[in-house]
Amino acid sequence: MAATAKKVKKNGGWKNVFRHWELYAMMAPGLIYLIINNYAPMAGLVVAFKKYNYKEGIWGSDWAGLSNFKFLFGTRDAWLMIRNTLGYNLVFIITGTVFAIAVAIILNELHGKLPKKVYQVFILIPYLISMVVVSYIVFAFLSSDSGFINKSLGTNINWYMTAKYWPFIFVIVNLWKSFGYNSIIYYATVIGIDSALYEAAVVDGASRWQRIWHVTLPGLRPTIITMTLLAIGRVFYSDFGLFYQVPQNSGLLYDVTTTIDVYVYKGLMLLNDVGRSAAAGFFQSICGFILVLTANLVVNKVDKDNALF
Amino acid sequence: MKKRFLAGALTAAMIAGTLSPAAVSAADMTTLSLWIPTLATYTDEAVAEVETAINEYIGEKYNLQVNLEYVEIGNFEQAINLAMTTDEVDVTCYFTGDGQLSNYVANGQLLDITDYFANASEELKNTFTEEEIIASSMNDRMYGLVRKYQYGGHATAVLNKEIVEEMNIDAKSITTMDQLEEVLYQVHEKYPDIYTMVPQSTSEMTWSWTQIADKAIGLTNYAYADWGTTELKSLFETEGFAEFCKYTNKWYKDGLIMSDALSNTMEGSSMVTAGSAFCTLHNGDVDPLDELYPNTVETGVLAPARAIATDIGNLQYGISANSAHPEEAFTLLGAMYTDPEFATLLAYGIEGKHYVLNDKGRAEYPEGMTAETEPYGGFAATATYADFLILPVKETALYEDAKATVEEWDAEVEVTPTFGFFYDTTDKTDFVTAYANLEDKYEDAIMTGSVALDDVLPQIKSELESIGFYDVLADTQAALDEYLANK
Repeated sequence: MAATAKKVKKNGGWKNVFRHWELYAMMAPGLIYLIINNYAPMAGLVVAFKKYNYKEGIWGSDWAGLSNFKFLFGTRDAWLMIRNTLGYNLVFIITGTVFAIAVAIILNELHGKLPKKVYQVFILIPYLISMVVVSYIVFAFLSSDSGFINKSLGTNINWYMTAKYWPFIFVIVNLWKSFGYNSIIYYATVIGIDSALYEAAVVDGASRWQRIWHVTLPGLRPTIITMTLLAIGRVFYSDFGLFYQVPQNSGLLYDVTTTIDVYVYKGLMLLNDVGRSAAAGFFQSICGFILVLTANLVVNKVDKDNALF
Repeated sequence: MKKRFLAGALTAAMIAGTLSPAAVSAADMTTLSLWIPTLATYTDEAVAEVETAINEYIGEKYNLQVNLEYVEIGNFEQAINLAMTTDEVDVTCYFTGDGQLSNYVANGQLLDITDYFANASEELKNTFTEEEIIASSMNDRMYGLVRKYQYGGHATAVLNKEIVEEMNIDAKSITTMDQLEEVLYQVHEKYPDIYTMVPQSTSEMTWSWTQIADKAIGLTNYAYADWGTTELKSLFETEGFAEFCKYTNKWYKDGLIMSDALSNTMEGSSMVTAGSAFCTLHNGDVDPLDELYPNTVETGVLAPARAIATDIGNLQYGISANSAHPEEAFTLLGAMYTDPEFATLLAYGIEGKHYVLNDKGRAEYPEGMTAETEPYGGFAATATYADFLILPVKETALYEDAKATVEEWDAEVEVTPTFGFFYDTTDKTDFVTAYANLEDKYEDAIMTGSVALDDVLPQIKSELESIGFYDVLADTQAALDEYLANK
């Protein structure tokens, strides 16, 4: 093993690049995108520590220390937005994962290529719809005058004025919109599981449930861990469209719709203060980074093979 | 031989071109971008046509070229905030209705034009009143030129014409909320299937504050007072707000106001025009609203014309601090107020194509064209252009002379006694954000009548207390009292 590694190292470097140039060429667009989109703008994080002046630009603006971060914590809304952002994300991660896995397994259990393809297309469609369009679809269901739900149930609930329903509405909408994409990722893993394992299980007399429990789910474990770790990295972010557009920015729902992103957007629109928005983004990234490291550390302790790094 | 002849001809043309004194190509001129919000729909082709016509005119007269950047009014602030971080913006419109001028200045977004204005032509300087110069200034420095329009507005309502005629309603005789209420109940009884009353825009019940409260005092977003007083209060504790919301809450409970008012995404006037609603409250001005909105009738004045601090110049034109050509940008800005030919081309489009002048010299749509079909859209959205007073009077106007009419209006309008007072909130931005969220949470819900003010007032007061509202208000009051004492 050590000898192989040494050999690879010896033959590595540019020689290796030339030998496998096709692979590097395939990687290049992604790498360039990553550098331009994710790494180059990092220099702009300095805005979070500046009193941004449009005329002076990023480098000419005065330093502001940590004052841009204060507004995230300095008001009575701080607890509300952090509670909502974290709370919704945790529920989304749990419900989204369970639902997506269930759908992936159901897809795998289907026989016939055509139904599988048709179902995959249909469950992916909501993922491709803009949140603005989703907000109108939701309105068609929830309008108090002419909404599908009130008309069907004969009720007269004013959904956009009643905050208690919205945590459930958000979970349902988020699930409907995102499960298709996630379930296809899990489905791709499921079909990659060695079929010999299933055949052996059948020979051993395992029922369908037992095969799912003892073969499919363990096979999905690395993907579940990776997907969850990625989701954990974004628990301080929220889908702005979901929390702003879908409830139509109704004031009476603010207690359950104010997440960090919504609060920052409103602050930005009110004061045009780019520094505070950058500070919020920086805070979200750092928290996400720490959470990913922590979660990965835990995975590393429990199941080293499935840790990300 | 043919080639030689061609080469010779080209050389001669080049020499002639070089020696020609007046031929300045568009490429040699400074090109400026001009950002304008629009209320109307337009086509890119029509804008390009008008842009070409404008460039022909201003190229010759000012040695300038312009790129017209139209943005739908709802997205305009967002668009210019982003564009102003770069040098993409030269001259731009901006709104100050919610006291944003202080943000633009504090963030270094607008160019200080004090010196340019001081050295400008007398014609330009005389265009603006003292109040208008105050409205576009902060700390005695000038940052823009206000839109020439009337100060403030009155409160009115727009009614569906077919129902008005059918029920024989004398719309102009409706001059109080009680009279309006009587008509609303009659219509609700006869037409229970349409909305009797809808918000003016999305979930905002009305844009007219003249019957509610004096707002934006000190150019802040939190200081209000009842009209005729200078005692600062929270919006929710003003008498005018309580009075107004009593009506709307009653109407909401009785099913007169659309029950989805809080999640409404449409303009009230569109619903009234389409016949899906009977009435919407509206801010009125010198132009009759029933001419602006087809199939509608405007009521009488529900509350007299008043102007809050940001009503004078609530829409202004200035120069981006990042403009690479500030001097040329000021020339363009000045021309928008002093050159009627340029202003008309910009506002109405090309004569004969987008508008015509009739035999009375008044502007109207070309035959067969309407607000919906005219492709430039400027004629339908003149309210967003810089100088309303130098444009040809529209055929629909009730006056002969726009300038005289506006001057008469401005002389009669009740301007807030706090006009000119500025309270600096740059060290209170956390409070300003928290307050804005709190107001957004309750304002539309109460104003549309969806929630009764009395039911939520204790909760609101407690939330105001928790964000330190009353301390900030006391400081603002002290500063206002000092300002008024020194005035």
